[in-house]
Amino acid sequence: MNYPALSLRSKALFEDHQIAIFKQTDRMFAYLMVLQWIAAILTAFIVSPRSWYGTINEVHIHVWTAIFLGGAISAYPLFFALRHPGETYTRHVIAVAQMLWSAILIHLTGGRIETHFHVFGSLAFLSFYRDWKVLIPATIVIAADHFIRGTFWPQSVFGVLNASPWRWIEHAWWVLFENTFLFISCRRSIKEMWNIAENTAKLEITKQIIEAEVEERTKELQLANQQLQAEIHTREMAERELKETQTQLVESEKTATVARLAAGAAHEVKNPLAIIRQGVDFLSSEGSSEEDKKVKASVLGDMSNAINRADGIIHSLLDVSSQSKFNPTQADINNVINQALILTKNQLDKKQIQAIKELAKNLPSLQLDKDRLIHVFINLINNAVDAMNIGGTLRLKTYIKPNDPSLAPFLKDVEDSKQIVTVEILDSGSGIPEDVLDHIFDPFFTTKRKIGGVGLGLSIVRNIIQMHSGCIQIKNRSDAQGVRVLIYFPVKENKDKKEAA
Amino acid sequence: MRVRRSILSTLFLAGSGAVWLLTVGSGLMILYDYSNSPSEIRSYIKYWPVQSSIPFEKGWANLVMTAHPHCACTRASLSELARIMTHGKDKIKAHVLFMKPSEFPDKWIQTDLWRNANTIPSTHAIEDKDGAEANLFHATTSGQVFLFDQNGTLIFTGGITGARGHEGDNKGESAILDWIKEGKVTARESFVFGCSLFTPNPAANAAKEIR
Repeated sequence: MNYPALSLRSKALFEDHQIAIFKQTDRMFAYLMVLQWIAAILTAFIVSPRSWYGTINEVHIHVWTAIFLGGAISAYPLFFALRHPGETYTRHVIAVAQMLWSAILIHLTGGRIETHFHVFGSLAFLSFYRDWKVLIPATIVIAADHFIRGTFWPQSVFGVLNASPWRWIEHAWWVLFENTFLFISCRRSIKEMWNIAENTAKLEITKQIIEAEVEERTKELQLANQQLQAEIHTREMAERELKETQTQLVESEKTATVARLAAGAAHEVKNPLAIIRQGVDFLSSEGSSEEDKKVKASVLGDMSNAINRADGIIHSLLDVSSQSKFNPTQADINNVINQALILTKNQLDKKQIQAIKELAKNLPSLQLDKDRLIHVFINLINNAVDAMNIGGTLRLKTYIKPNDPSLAPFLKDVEDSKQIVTVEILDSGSGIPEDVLDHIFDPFFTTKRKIGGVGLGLSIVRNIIQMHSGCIQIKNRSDAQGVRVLIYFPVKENKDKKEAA
Repeated sequence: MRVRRSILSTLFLAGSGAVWLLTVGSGLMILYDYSNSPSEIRSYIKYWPVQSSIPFEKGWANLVMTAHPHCACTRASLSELARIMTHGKDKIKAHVLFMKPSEFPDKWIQTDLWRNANTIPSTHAIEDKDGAEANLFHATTSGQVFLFDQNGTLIFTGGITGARGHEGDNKGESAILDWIKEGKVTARESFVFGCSLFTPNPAANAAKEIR
């Protein structure tokens, strides 16, 4: 803390406080002067209103004394108290005037000892100034009054005819006795005022320091805020750019996907078209022998197969791009699986594969596009049959299980579901190589191109399952050789129940 | 400039303060002078006046005090008389003569002084019509006291206050108390402070009268 500043401020505050007390006490004495004057006049009017000479009378000299002498005593200090409050001479004049009032009262009461209390009361009142110096003129005046009257007219001041010439000293001593305590009181008050001034100054300076610090911190915060705003702006710009880039990437990806699909489709359709062109060329050639007719019939069969193949490819591409209409109805998944098994019975029987069904009863009905789902299960069963040797085992299970948070990223509307209908297909085939597993859902990715695979089967399967808000996982079995396919359908209870109702 | 103003202020303060103190001092001096100005004692009688209608109490010392019923100074004299009679009620019979002009109604003398006088031991207030009795005692001032021994001989006359309206020790009171205690007076007379019992002269009649 800045000590010279503290000292200066303490001094200023102390002086302000002192001046305020001086002015306040001056005002109080101004009232007292007026009150004493009025009281003196009233007393004179009540006690000794008139002087009598037989039957005639006139206003008593006490009344005139109260009016004029009392007025003279009070008016002078009153003038200073009103015009020069707080000045040193004002309170000294007041002190003298107050003691003159004491002198008059003591005289008028014939030196009654009780009236001397006016002196002590007045001294105590003067100590309200908290300035012990003001007691000096008061003490001098009252001591001089006692000395003069005690010498020349003792009854007026002591109430006795013959008083010791030193009695005024006794009275003055009692005044000094009281002054001692008033002096101590004044000193203590001054000390307390200094303490108050110092504490106030400390508070003020501390407040100033805190305010300066707060201002500095506020500026720092404002600066930091500005920097933060700039950073947020930069980040928003970056995020916007990132989104734009992501959008561009998605568009690029879409374009790439379309290009890949187009390339795949072109590649797949090119072969049947070549067969058809060759067939058309051959059929355009001349030749009507029986041999030619047989060959032409064979060529027409090849052309028909090529057209069917091209049509299948186009149809599959439509499924992949979900352009055909999705038509769900309330259905039981077990029925769908049974129908798929009926349709694939021929393939299963050719390889003597045993199909084991473990279908749970009382499964909740789901919103299913049955035709598409039959296609899904036929595809999956055919894949399993292709992977298995003669005499393999195909196990199909359905069951219901509670919602699994780990599936949330893969399932739509899973928040509404408490239960999940699961379809599990287990084969005893050769399994899928790990490096192939990551690509099995890619369009036109196939390991069976030699036997006519186009690589759209699993892509279509996943697409159809996703249309049903479900998901599919394909992995190698951990308990035995073969593949394990898991298909999850979330049960949208409210919606499904309402729709069921 | 500021120094000149300061000097002027100091001179004004000193000058006005001196004038103020002189004024107040003069006022006090006038007040003291008034308080210490005794009334004139016309002459002394030596014995109880035989023409007096006040019965002299035989076997007792008799004290007579003259009083103006509206004199403020006499309040102090009655207080001193009460003090004296507290000590001398077994020796003295006191009579307080309240002067009543015949043209004034009876209630004119029924003041607090009258009532006070009747509460003092061995004392009774007497209406003194037109101050006739006061004249017999050669009294002119309210508060004047006459003390006669058992034989009717005047042993003291004067006031029993030290100044106008001032209670407390004084020469007259001390003289009477000495006689009560020791049988002899230390003073035969003292100053009297009080209102005049009689209208001084015709010119004074111009002053206001109160009925």
